[in-house]
Amino acid sequence: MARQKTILIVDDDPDVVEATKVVLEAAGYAVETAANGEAGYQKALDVKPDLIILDVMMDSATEGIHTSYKLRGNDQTKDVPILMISAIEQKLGVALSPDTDEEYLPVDDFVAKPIAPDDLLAKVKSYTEPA
Amino acid sequence: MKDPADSVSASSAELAAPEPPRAAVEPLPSAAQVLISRVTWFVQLRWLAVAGVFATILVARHALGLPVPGGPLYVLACLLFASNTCFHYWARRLDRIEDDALRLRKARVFANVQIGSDLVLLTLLLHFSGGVENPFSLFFVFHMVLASILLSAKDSYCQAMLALALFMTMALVGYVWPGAHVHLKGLLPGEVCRNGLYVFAHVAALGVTLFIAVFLTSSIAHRLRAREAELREAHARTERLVWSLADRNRRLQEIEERQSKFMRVVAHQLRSPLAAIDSCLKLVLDGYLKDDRERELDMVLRARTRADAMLELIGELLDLARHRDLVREEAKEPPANLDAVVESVVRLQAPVAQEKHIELTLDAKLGAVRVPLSAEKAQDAVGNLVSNAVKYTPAGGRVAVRTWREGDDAWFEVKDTGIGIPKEEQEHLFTEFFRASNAKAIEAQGTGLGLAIALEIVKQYGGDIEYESQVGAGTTFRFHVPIVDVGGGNEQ
Repeated sequence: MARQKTILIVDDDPDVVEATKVVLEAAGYAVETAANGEAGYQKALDVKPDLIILDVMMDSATEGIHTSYKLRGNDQTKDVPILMISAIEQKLGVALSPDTDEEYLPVDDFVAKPIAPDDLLAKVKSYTEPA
Repeated sequence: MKDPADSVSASSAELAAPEPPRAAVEPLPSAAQVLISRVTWFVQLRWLAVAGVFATILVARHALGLPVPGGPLYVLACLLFASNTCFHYWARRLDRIEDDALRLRKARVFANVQIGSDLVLLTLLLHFSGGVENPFSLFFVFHMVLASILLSAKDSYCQAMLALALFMTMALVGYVWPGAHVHLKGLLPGEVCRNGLYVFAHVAALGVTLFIAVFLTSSIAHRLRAREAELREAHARTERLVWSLADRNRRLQEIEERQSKFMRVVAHQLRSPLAAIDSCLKLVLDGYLKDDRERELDMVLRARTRADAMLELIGELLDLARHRDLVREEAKEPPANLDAVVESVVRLQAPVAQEKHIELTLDAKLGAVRVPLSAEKAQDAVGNLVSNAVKYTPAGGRVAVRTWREGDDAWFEVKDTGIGIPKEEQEHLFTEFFRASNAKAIEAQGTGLGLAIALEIVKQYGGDIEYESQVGAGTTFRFHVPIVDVGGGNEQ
């Protein structure tokens, strides 16, 4: 029997966290949550999730970005796929496309807010159950 | 909730002192620069005079055959050349002086020395070339014209007196000491230098001519200088206007940037709850919780709570916008009795305080005093401060509200024993949407606009909100506004 995959949600909006958690648990994932970047980073080290869903803006405008860099900088978490929740038209001052040669955000994919459950599940599946 | 730490600061801009823009208007030369350029031109003109003197001596001696003594005349011509060389270097040194006032004073001295020196040399040249017989005594007039252009009227008249004194001395020497006089044989019949009447008439005519020349030229020069001063003043006014316009443009640009930034922040603040509402309701509509009625209901309630929070946020944004409205609506409304407003606010908060077992007290000492705020604005300012105090004071704590008068100002203060504000976050206290980290831990929901609104209102009346706070000990807010009426009138 396949091991149950664990998803870590890092977002300071409790309603978004709860709604996302319902969708993921319904799809058979175990869900852990954290309300800010630092707590999310610590929890990632503790539970070693199969995927991290990370919001861009929490206590500060760029907290998600800083957390993603921290996760990528730690050997224990650097290979964990990260989905970043952001608004498409959000201007963060950094390039968001990994295709850009210069600075870019070290995440694997983006999920637009408000989160569409089907879109979320498709992306989560693609990163946790690679073909 | 999202709370961008870099969101815009509260109320109207308190911009740093502006830097003057780069000069958009070409600066006019100063009075010192103008005088130096004129005396320098005078020096350059004198080179022509030097050449003219040498040429005249040559023509007089060799072409016209006049018996003028070559030795003294050539020596004087060389002296003129030497003095002009000194003047040339003196002019260059003047240019290097940085202090404009000092430069102007030295330039005036320089001009006086030049003219005085020329008058002496001209007198000596005339003496050795016929004295009163020499028609070139008219050249004194040129120096008077130059003096009137370069110098003040007083200095010009002094130079005229010097010229007259020198000519008179030369004429007297020729009259009293015939041996010293050089007679221009063939130019005039007889030695008129011995004719007292002629000498007197010549000196008188020259003197009158010199003073009339100074009077006329000085008058014109005075008018020109007045025009120059007007031009300089107009230029300075234009420069100030350009600077002021550039500064206003810069401020307008900054305000525009702040408004754009504020709109982005507001859009984000509105979008977050909408995204949450959408997520919650989507779960219900897509049937994710169709087998869990309780959780389904929880999702709907969450959506409802976020919708209410959005309505509160929009309401406070409208309040903030209204308080910032430049139209002074309060001119149509009567000044408020601040004590009455504070009592009303405390009465409203009493049930909330009672539920939390908070001791809420009021010590109102303003009485019938009225302040320029309308009752509504006073309610908003005081209400936000008192409600915050009650909200962030744990059960069993104390909130003390008081008002008093100091001089011509009415003071308000609310002091609580609440959670306090972390020191490193206090600088953002009045920033729109800012909520301290420990406040968010107690109360997840909150617009972060209450203090910004209170500050906006108080600042409109020339006041400010002071505060002291310590984490775990409590916070005190106080503000003052001017008193407009010390008593009487209907209570609000």
